[in-house]
Amino acid sequence: MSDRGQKFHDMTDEDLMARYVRGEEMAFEVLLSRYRRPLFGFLYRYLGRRDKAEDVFQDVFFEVIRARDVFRTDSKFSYWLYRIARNRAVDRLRRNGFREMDSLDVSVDREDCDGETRLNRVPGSNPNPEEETLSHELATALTECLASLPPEQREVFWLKEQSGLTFAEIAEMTGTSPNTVKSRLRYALEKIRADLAARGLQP
Amino acid sequence: MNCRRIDELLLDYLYGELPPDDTEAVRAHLADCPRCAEQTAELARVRHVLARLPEPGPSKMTVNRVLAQAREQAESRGARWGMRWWKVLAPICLMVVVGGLVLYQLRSGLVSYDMQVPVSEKTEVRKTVPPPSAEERPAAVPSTAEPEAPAVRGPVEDRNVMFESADRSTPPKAFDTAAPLAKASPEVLATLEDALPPAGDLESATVKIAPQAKRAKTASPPPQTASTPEPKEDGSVATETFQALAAPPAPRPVGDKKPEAGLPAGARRTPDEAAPDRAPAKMLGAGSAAPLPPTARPTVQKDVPRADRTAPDILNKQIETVEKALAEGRFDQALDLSLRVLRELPMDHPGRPRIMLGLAQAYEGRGESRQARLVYRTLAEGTSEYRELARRKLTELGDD
Repeated sequence: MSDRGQKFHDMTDEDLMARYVRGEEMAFEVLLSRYRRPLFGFLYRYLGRRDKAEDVFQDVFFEVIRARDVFRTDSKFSYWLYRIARNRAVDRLRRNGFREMDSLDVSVDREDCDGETRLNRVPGSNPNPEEETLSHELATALTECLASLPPEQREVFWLKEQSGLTFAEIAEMTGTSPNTVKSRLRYALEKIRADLAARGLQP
Repeated sequence: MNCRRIDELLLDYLYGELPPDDTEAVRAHLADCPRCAEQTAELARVRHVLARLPEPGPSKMTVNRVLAQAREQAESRGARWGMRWWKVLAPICLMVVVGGLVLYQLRSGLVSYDMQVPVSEKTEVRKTVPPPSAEERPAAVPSTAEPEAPAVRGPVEDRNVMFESADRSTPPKAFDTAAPLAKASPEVLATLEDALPPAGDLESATVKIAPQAKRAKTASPPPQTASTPEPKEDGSVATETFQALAAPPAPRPVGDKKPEAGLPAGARRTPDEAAPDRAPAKMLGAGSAAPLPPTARPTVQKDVPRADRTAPDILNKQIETVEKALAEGRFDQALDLSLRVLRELPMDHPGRPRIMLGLAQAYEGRGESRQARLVYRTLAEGTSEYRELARRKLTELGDD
């Protein structure tokens, strides 16, 4: 990576956005590389379909580009980005409803899935290469469990897992209280654990 | 910290949002409480296994579209910034360019304007005029100055001084005049003022004459040609005449029998000047409103010694122009030129009666007998050589 590219990678999201507002295209590319998978992951898990996730993903970044002058560099870029994404996703979900989610196993992710997981982003977990690949049975079970979650639980679960926003931020974004967010997330985790146990699978 | 409190903080603990002190307190409780520890471990494993799900990414096509859009907007932003700068700079650049052009034009105009009074140039041209030989001087011409007499030249600003010092002291015989006539002229002119074209014409004519002066300087034409340009149809020669008149005539030794009014004592006409007092009147078609044929009008060019072709010389050229206009029936031009010269000519200038005669004839040619009579009357009341002629014209015109 060039010195210029490294310089951008060391910048905060907000600085990058400010650079892009001034017309520096590379700053946007770095931002996109940072949020490409997490944001798409949220949209994909929340909407359940790749094509919808693609559409909304593109709309979200087009909106970021269009409204870059509105963005205040003293605010948090990830919150702004996910708020746009969440609103767009909610609108899309209201319009079309939640459909059967695509299989979330490795085979579904086709050319864009390089096997990357977010394991290293989960606090307290110690990524072990030997554990990075789930069994096909477990992956299918998890996909079905996630698809069966109520939208509000699925929303906060994936928002929390993908965005790294705090409970307070998610509560503000979704118009609820932090305790409600934690409660919904707790129910989602408990449900997945119970479903896996019912299937005789151990996480 | 009890188990209920641990249950409340479990999510914050799992997602790392607890403050360090609370985190330590939770860990201490979990170390001592197997039930809470097991519950916490199960949820942590669920998170862990979900984190092992492959994380999908957007298609390359979608990413490329987003990048293209970002690039396009960044470029347009740059272009817009450029446009903004241009919007700011464009008026400044325009003002600079226009201002520069205006200044350039102004300077050019000033230079051009200056060239219409090229004192040094005119002096230079006049200096090139060789003194005429004695043979060239017609006896019938009221020639005035001695060939040896140096022509007194001066800039426009020195006009009055020069007239006082040189011209007045030695008035040319040809422009012999009378003070009463000179004093009466403003009133006459005032009554005729409405016949004048707009003042702007004079300026335009002045501008037109500038190139001529320039050519005279650069091309170094023969002295005669340079000093006697062809009168223009548009009357532009008038300006040249004014400029020439600005320079006083050369002092002339006079041997006249009687000193002219308003002239210093000792001003005398030379012997060869004594006879042709009527010559100018004849030149202008004296005794008749109809212009004389060109052959009957000896040109001043031949009549005046070259050494004296200064102000009187140019004035004679002006008179030539007037009489040419009269001969060709261009009474409007003759009138215009006469009035212009009269306005510029000093009131005591000896050439005024001669020009007034041309003015009267121009009025007569235009059929404006009232104005013609007014001018003739002024001449008739004067003491110039045109007094008798003017009286005859007044009789012809039925003046009371």
